Amino acid sequence: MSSVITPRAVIRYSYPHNSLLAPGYHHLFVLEFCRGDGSIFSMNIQTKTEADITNYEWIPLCTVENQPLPKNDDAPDNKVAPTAVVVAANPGRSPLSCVPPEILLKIETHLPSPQDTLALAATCRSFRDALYNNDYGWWLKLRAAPHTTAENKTEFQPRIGWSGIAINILQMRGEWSNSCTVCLSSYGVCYLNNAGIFFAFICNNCIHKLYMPLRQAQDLFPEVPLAPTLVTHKVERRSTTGYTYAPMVRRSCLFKITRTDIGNPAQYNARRLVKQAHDYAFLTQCRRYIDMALQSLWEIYTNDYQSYHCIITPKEIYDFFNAEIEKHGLARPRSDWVESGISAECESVRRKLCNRRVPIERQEVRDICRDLHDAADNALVRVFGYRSPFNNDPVTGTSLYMNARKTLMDKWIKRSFKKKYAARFKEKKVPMKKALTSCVLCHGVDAKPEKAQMIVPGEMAVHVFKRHYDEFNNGNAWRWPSWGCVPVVPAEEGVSTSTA
Amino acid sequence: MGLSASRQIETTAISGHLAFPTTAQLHHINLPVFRQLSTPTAVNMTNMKLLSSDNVEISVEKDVAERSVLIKNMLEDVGETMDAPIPIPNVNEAVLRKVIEWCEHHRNDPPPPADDDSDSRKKSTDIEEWDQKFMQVDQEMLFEIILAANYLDIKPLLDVGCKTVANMIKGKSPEEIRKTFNIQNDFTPEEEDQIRRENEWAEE
Repeated sequence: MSSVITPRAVIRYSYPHNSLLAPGYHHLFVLEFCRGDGSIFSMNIQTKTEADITNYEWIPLCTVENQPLPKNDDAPDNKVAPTAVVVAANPGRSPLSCVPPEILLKIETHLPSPQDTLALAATCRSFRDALYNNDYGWWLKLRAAPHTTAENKTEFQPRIGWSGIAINILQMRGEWSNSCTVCLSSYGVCYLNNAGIFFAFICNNCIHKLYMPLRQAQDLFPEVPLAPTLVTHKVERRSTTGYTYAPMVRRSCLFKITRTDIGNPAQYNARRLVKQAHDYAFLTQCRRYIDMALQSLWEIYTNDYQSYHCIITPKEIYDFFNAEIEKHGLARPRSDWVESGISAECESVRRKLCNRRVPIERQEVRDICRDLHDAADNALVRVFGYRSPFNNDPVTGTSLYMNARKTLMDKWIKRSFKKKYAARFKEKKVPMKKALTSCVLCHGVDAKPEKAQMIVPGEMAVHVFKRHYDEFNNGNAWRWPSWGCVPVVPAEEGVSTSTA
Repeated sequence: MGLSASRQIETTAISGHLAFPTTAQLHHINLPVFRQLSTPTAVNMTNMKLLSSDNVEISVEKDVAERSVLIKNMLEDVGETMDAPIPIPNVNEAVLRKVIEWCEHHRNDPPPPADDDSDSRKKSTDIEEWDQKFMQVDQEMLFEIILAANYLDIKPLLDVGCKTVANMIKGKSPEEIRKTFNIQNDFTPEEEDQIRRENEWAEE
């Protein structure tokens, strides 16, 4: 035998766990060494007597590969006992690295946040392997993490990438039920796309956060199905073959619940959206619908990438768009759409409403109403090419502008005021009605509804102050400083321009 | 204090065969130990011996030793009368004395509740003041205490040790953790980059 023994590899470090050997018995550990002559010297976990282990030639544990160690020529008299191998501390080795995996996982369970676990896992390979495979630990940690709401970000930002892990764990544990795939709360609602390819459970808070761009787009274009429409179901009961769903309770969009193994869902969805926009534009003969749909689509993808950058890159989106646009002969999206997007305006108003922490005063109601009106007008003028509540469409005979504006305002007001400030309105004795009945011209509260059909036959009633209404009827069009009846964008086919 | 006091008690117990500490000795003992020792009828004061891995015999009261589930089960299997020292082949003298010190201080603690991971996570950083001082040792000793607690099956001590290590990890970056525990970074730069990207979701 050569005089030098080189530790080749430590296959597995094992610590006698909860066992007490009888006197005279020792554990052997799985070690593998390469002698200087190239022969392999390996050991396994075994229980041996004193007499047995005297046949072995014990050497100190060393973690540095291929580091030559002087052979212990005095063995077996000065042999290192197996127990000494376990507790022997190599100066260059971390004590944390010496603990068995089960101890490491116990330590990990006491780490308060997922960030700490990730940091520990990022220190070295062995920790990463041990901690990443601890599915149950992740499940508990994610479940205990604070819930992220749509408006208020907390320290833990769930990402869709982890939902796959969570789902696997939940399935493994038989707790799939209706846990939210993002935050793992127990209030998930099943979202199923109409293609029936995939489905997932998401709670209302997370769906609002994740799919806000789509929601905005839907608010802006209630008539245009901008995304594959998903049917939301509530879980009714659980069966052995799967889940039985109750009838449809509401509609929403599901854009990000995707699985990469299905293909590229972003491209699939984008193709659908472009086709739908094209179909709608063909039906309405209004080119602007195509542009707006594409603009929103662009924003959706851009926001999606900025937020999660997990599905598709902007470059891919742009290339895809160009290809689709060329294919369908549609307008090319303008480069400044992202910066001057409608969604940004809507979002700023919405945030202004939702992030408030002080009670709303009467003047504030007025200001917020004005902001809402302005945002609605700014958004809609791009669709219709003009800005006026009383202009009817010569083609259809009705005011598309007012219909869209009313729909938009209703949605915003309901979402922003009723949910967030209903209680405060009650406390302050500011009736909700005041917010809902602001004047369409000056945005003051408490405007009475006037019959718009007196101005535009066949139109609905609008809330407008009587003095403005009278002025308008008397031929003295009341003009709000920011209120332009002059078309901002030249009208195209199917849209008339009015100077009122 | 705890170690010296326990050594005094131990010496007294060895030499005097169930003799109680003197008043002078009690002055060096903190309140919990004093309270425990002042009610001798409530505890089993039978002594037994533990044999450390470096062949040092340590005398310890039976109820203290029975904080270890491993020893307790073994005593139940073997019987009440056991004159020979119990070998603890994986724990050396210094660590064994520290473990006994902890067990003496916590001898009257209620048994730990059944496993409940979610509960233990909620109070992950709660460590008693005495335990915090007890764990103020060098890292090698800390991890040997943890290993010994695991081997001897003393769950509360194991929890305290793990919490202490968790507190050392908490809030640190991977690089800081490596420095704290002298961990060698065996990731390639590409792997580190990938890990950083994967972990972005938890940042901010």
